[in-house]
Amino acid sequence: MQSYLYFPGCTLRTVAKDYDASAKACARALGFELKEMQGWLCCGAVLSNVEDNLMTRAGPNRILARAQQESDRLVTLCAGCYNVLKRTDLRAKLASPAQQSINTFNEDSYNGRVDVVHFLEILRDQVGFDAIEKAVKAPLKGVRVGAYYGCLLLRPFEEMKFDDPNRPSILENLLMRLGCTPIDYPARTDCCGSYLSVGSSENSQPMSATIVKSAHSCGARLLTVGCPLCKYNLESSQIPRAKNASAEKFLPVVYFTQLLGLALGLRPEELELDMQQMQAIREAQIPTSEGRDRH
Amino acid sequence: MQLGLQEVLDAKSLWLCATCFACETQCPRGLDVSKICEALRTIKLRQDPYELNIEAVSADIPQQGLVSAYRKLSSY
Amino acid sequence: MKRVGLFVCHCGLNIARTVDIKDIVEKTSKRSDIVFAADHKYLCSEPGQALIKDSIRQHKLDAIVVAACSPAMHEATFKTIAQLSGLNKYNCEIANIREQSSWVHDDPQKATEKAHIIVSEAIEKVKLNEPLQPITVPVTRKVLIIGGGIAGIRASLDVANAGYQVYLVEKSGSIGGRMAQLSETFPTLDCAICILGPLMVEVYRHPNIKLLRLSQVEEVRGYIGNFKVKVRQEPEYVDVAKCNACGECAKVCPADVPNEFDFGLTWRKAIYTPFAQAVPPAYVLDAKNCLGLLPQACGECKKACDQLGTACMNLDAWPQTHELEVGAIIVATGYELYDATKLTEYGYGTCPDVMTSIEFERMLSASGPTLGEIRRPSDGRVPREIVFIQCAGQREPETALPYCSKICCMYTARHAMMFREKVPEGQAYVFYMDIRAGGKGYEEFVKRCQEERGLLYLRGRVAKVYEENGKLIVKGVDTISGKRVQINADLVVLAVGMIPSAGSKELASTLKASLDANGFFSEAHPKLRPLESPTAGIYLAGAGQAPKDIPETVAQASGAAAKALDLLSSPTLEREPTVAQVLETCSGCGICIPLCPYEALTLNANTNQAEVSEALCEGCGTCVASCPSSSLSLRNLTDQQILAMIEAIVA
Repeated sequence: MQSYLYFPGCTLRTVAKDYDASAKACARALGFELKEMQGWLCCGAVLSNVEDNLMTRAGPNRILARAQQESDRLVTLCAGCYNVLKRTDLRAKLASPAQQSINTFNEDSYNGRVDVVHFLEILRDQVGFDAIEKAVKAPLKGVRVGAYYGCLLLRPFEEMKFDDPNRPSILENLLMRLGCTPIDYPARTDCCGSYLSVGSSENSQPMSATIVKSAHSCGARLLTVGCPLCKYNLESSQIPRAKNASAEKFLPVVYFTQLLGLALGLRPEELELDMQQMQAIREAQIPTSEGRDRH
Repeated sequence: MQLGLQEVLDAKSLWLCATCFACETQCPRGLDVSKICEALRTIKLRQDPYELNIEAVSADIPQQGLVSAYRKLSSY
Repeated sequence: MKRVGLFVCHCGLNIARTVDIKDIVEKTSKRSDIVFAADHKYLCSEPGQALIKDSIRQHKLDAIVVAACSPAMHEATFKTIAQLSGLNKYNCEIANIREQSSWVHDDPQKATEKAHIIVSEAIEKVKLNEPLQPITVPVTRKVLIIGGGIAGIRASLDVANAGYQVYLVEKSGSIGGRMAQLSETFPTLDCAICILGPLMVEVYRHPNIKLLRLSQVEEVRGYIGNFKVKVRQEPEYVDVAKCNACGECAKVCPADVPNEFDFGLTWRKAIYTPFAQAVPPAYVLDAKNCLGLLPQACGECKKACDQLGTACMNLDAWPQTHELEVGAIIVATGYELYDATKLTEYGYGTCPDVMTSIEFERMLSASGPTLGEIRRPSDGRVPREIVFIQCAGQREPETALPYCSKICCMYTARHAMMFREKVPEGQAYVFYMDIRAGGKGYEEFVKRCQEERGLLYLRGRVAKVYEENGKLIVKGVDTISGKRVQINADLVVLAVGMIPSAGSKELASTLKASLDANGFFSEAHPKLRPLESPTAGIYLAGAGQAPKDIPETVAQASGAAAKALDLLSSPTLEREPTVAQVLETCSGCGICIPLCPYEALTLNANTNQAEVSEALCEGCGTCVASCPSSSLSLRNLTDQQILAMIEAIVA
């Protein structure tokens, strides 16, 4: 069975266990394995914009140095970890004096020999969307889902080179293969507020609320993300969902791996989807009169 | 700053940056405002160290958020 | 044995600062092959040249070496003074001790040593120079003008009126270019086609102008004064002389095609007239969109035309190749607009109510898609709130075009003003970075538009345009008040940049003319020679060289015409004689023939030796290097001379 070296990150081990579990379940269903790397540690969540702040790069370099022992490719799920590790690796590949300092400081030296990829890239390039479409057992008939990319997967574009920073399409392409109806809405790539929700949520809430409103007004009844912080921000910007409230008032947020898993025929428990989320997905299948489809 | 105007260090907007890089992606001249904000915050924090007050933060906030907030908005 | 004189220039301090001039003069005078040596502060000046002239006379010199700046600067000047002093001008050599020594080295001792060597080289060369005579070639006194827009039209008329034959080659079915697509022109608000039309007719009627429509330049050979051009003309299914533009053919044509004159906002038929005032006033058959000609699928147009008795159609026509001989070529290929779909944040292409400025221009035009009424493309309603975005995809080195297109501030003011005139209850917002209104009457025009029509100018860029509930949400900023601005607009117009016309790259390659970094045709010198290409015999006019407005285009066209007329003013032209020559040891192996980039070498069947066309040869030396028996030599740069120069270096 094909095995890819995997970096979960601390959030996926705790608050975002569902993301980790659903991804692993999907991998199994698609015939490969996400093998956790040895000796991983917290990546630091963000890369410092201050280029001479080398201490913040020590941790991610150590991760990559350890990964290097096991493979030349490292798969991530959390958009934050992906951003940090990929950009750390880019700087390491430049072999600058700064990199020398970091290597001297760390016990394990990292020389840029690992390629950092996102789980979506494995799905697209190694497994192939055609193969995934063939493996779909329970197509998500018409689920009106808005893919939310956020920032860290796409930007800064010269370093991430993951997808078009203004009009990305990788998530919509995947979702269409699963039978969903992905909804295009203008705020797909706007920031959710990120870490501003810690301590000054009055600044981040309006940002997330705008995204939710934009998706909803274009006809989305579900949001899907690839980042635990985005999920938290998008959900907490909305009025908490009462037990029997309709989908008109609350847009639930699920990870794309959970949707993938459902389409592959896995059970909600395996994907750590709760009853409310399952109901929302079902309700999202009901076509609405608003919004535009993305073809 | 280059003109010697220190007031800019007291600007509130420096603390509103979420490092989303939308500025750098769109800027016709390739300027990175998030970088400038962080540089100014770092200068300010080195002058006046600040610890982030998170007593009101809920338990289900992802670590990703906590760690990044501490790194971007406070001295550590 | 030649009597050689040396003149060393101080060039102010440019040379004297690093090179020890006195040392050069002293040591060189001691050479047995030098009769006289002197120095001067500025040899290129009048007194400097007088020194040379007097010294040649006094010391009966028959060859001189001028140690000064680069030959690219003043070789012509010094050769002229040598000639005026009675010398053959090819007995004057330049030793470049400025760009090649004093300007690139700091160490005075080493720089002086190097200057000595450069001077010795030049002396050895001049000693063996032959007294050559320039090669005289005839000039074909005809001009080819590529592009039938206002630039091409103006240049054609100027050359033709001076009495010379003009071939005007136009890609499309009619001349007129972009100006024919405009509604009005700033700042006078003249109706564009009204002022252009008469010029177009004049071109058509002019006995000295041969208009070739549906034509493109395919091949250019030869050189300045003697170009041989092949022009390919698309099949003329309609006989231009017989067609009276009655339009009966179009009435029966079943094929609908988006009309490129209106940028797809209207439809035309496969047989069409480009626009109402087209010149030549004959219809065009668009073979690509016709239902089929080989074999004939329809033929209704020809039937209708034959029935009327006009009978001007021939559906079996073939493309024609015209072989033209001209002395000068004027490139007037104009511009098109940057692809706005690349500006993803503005929604062009996904939101139907986001238009480019030139599409809006067509809408303003009385002959356009809405006959001059301003309507939203999505639902046909009259827009109330309209947003104009200047600098769209321009002045953006990181994300789109780095330059400014010069005309957008002006036409946007005109557009906004016309909108308010036609929709008085509407509101126009213009997002700008600067207002560039440098021409005559331009500043006054913009102020008039702003004040008389109450336009709202907001200084700042627009970040995003997207659709919501039938409106276009425009998110921008007004940096003067420091506030973010959101306008819920009905229509958005993007002032996108001017880029060189499609096909410029291929044409440049055909002409062997150079393009600049942005794809516009390069000028020989941006300040002092803006009308000529570095390639001799090719002149430039209009927006094909750089973004500009109509007055500048017309001025440049007349200027380019004047340059061409200057070239044609004499029946002959002189070319440099420092060309290749074939020696008697040539065995006719033919290796050199295909190597010549100018096709100047041929194999003479009778003598079985290579032959050089001295007029075509540019003296590059490629053939000389290739000859295995050293049977090719470059005049005044023979192997003997080169070896002597090398010996001077290593001595």
